[in-house]
Formats: sequence, structure tokens, C-alpha cells
Amino acid sequence: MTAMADTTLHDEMPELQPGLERARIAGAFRQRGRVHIPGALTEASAARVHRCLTEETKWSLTFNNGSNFCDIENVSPEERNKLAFSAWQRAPNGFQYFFDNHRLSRDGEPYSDPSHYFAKVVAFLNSKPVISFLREITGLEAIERADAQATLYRPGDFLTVHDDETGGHKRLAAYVLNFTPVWRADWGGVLQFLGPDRHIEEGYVPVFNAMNIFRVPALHSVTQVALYGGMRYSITGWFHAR
Amino acid sequence: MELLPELSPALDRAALAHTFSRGKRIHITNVLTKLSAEQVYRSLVTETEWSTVHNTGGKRADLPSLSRDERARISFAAWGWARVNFAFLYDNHRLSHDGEPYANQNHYLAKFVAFLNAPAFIGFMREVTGLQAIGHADAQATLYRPGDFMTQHDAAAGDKSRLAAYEFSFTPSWAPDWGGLLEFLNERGQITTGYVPEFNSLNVFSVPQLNLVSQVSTFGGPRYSISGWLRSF
Repeated sequence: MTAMADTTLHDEMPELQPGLERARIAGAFRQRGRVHIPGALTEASAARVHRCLTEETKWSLTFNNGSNFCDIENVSPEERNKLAFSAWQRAPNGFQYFFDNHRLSRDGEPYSDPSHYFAKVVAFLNSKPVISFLREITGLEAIERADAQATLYRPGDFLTVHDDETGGHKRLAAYVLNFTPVWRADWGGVLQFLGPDRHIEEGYVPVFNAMNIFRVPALHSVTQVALYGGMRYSITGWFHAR
Repeated sequence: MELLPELSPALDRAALAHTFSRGKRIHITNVLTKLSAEQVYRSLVTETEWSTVHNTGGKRADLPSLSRDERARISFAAWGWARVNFAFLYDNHRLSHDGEPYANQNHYLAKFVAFLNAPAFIGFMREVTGLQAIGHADAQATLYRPGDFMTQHDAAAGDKSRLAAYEFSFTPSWAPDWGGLLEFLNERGQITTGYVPEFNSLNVFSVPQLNLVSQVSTFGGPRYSISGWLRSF
């Protein structure tokens, strides 16, 4: 939290925490096909990304209506509420998501505005240290690049159960980096994994500066952020093969 | 005709006991005979008077027959309190404070309280948990509506007679996305297991154990359960 108040945040590219126990992380991933890595970035990097997400990001609302995928810019709070109620009505009957996002990179290409800090985030995710870190802990040597979006789940937002298996993509592993300074399990917004019996095998609470990585396909969801929850800031996407 | 609540004859007790011994908790599917579980569900839906319970401000309140507007106002206050405090909000109906029979012997839920405290069920619970001191069960019926919840707590509350907590789920269909999950936390605050409240299942866990009931999603359904503690004499 102290780093958050630091006004001298630099604009260097984010860095992985040098002390990560790679062998242990790799072991955990190989066992379950997923891993939760607390303290993934250096404190200064995480604080800088957090500031970028809270102060320098233009959010759009993203949701689906059946198989129509909608992105709306500049939605008023009243309009957002109306759309949320409609999404809640559809949610019991099929796959549904509803949250804010901001596209960073569709397929590993640089961020559109090179002077924005996001350009450094995208470069970082596609940098040699990150790609080789991912290869090392997942054992997926074919990983080449990362797409990315910033997401903001507000109270009531969610992503229902799905497995990330879609045609035409070379998605090898999904990732989520969490940047909300304080979070509680009670607040929802949990990345949860379903077992073969459809109960919850494990749920990753979005604690600050954690990185979650999981092999796809895997049945998972982001639980609805509780009405008493907070604003859940993340950067998320997939690592792809060439 | 009313069926007495009855354990399913198909339960594999040795396997259940083994599972419990590894994790100190268990989710048992199809625990009652199907017909008796359906009878309990009907009783909860059509014959039960609900009160709303919450602890906003740190004091437990039990409020019968709230209007829709009052319930909404209380919910907003409870969500505010839940942000950083131990908090709960749901509807309940007390069945037995300490194993004593249900007040109205003509009510079907009296049969359920008798079932919980009869040798068949107490013996089953001793067998599954290995806790031979289990002597009786208290009970409340609960109804979590969309927006209702119980935040993390260890379920012991300094009461030494509480040996294990239990919860029977009676909602006919439920989806993991609907929330209302019984979740267990590790020492780092991460979720290690979550039980979906599927129809005719029974969750049992030893206490203390950090757990919560996640908020029922705004798009979830009404979640009917009977829950309480298995206690020593």
C-alpha cells in the first residue's frame, strides 16, 4: 500500500519479481494445470500498473446478448444499470458476461498509443523474460506471444462458466494479473475452477499483484462481484503459439 | 401422505468417512431418499414462515414479516456493513435451539428435527466424521435470496459443544454461477473448495474452519437449506 502513495512512480516497463520460486510454481502448474502466483511483479511495477488502470484508462462496457458481442463506449451510469439488469435476466439461461474493458493487444501487436503506459505493459507481456517465464512454468514451449485486455469488474459484474475453447485461436494458457489493492474472498470476483463434479475445486481471490495462469480449456468463471465488493482491476488474456 | 425423512440406503459410509478424514469436510450427494427430500422442500416452500436475520452494526436482528420495501432497505444496509465486517443477511426459521423437538408437532419440520436427533442420523454423522461425542443437532431452516450472504467466519464462536457444522440443501436446481456457494478458505485467504448447493446434498465440516456463503447472485434463485451444528452433550 505504501508504494501506492508514492508520487515518484517511474514509467519503466514492468518487471517480474526477481525472487519468484520458479521451480515450485512450475511444480504446482504441472500438478493442477493452473497456478496462483502472489507478488508476481515488483512492487513499483504493480503500483504503476495500478495507477494506469485507475487513472489513465478509458473504459468501455462489454457484454454479450446471446451470440452478439457488444462494446459500448461512454455509457452513463443509468444506462449501465439498465443493461446490467437485462444481462442478469439472461444470465440464468446461458453463457453471459458483463464488465468494463479496454483492449490492449489483439494478438501481441504493440498498443496503439506508444506514449501510453499500456504500450509498456503490452511490450512487457511479450518480452523475452515473460515469455520464457511462461514457458518455464507451464512447460508449454510453443508459447510465443500474449494478447491482452484491461478489465474492470464493478459490483454486480461477472463472467459465467465457460472453458475458453473457441475455434481459430492458438490459445495455450490464460492469464490474469490482479491490481486491486485490497480485496476479500467475500467480495466475489473470484476466478474459480470447476471440477468434473461441477463443484468448485479452487478459487483464486484477486489479491493485489497476483498472477493466475491456467491451461485452456478449463471450466472456469469469474463470480459476480458482491454488491458489497469493490472495483476489480485486472489485465488478462492468453498466451498463444505462433 | 407424508413420508418421514429418511437417509438414502445407498450411502457408502466407509468411503464418506475416508473423504472426511482427509479434508475435515465433505459434500454428500443424494443423502436422503428422493421422495423425502422433495417433501422437505415442499414444506420449506409452502409451510414455513420466514424471518429476516442480519447483524448490521454488529448486533443480530431477527425480523418477521417484512414488507418488500423494508427488506430492500435492510439489504442495502447489510451490504454496507458487509464490506469490511463479519456480516450476514438471509431469511430463517428456527427449528431447534439445542436438539429439543420442534414446537408444533403437527408440522412436517417437527419430523425433520426428530430425524436429525434420532440414532440413525446421529450414528451416521459419528461414523462419517469419527466424532463419537456427537449427541444431538440444533437446526434452522434458511432461505438465501438473491443478494443474501454470510461473510467469512470460523463457525465455532467459542462454543465448545459445537463439533461440526452441517447443511442440507433442498433447492431443486442450482448453477455454480448463482453464488450461494459454501466456500472454505486457507490461511492466505484463497478458496480451496466450494460446494454448490445442489438438491438433496449434505455438507458437513468440523469446526473451527474458515468458511463463507458467497452472495447469491442477482440472477440466482432462492436457496433453501436446513443447517446447524452437531453438538456434544
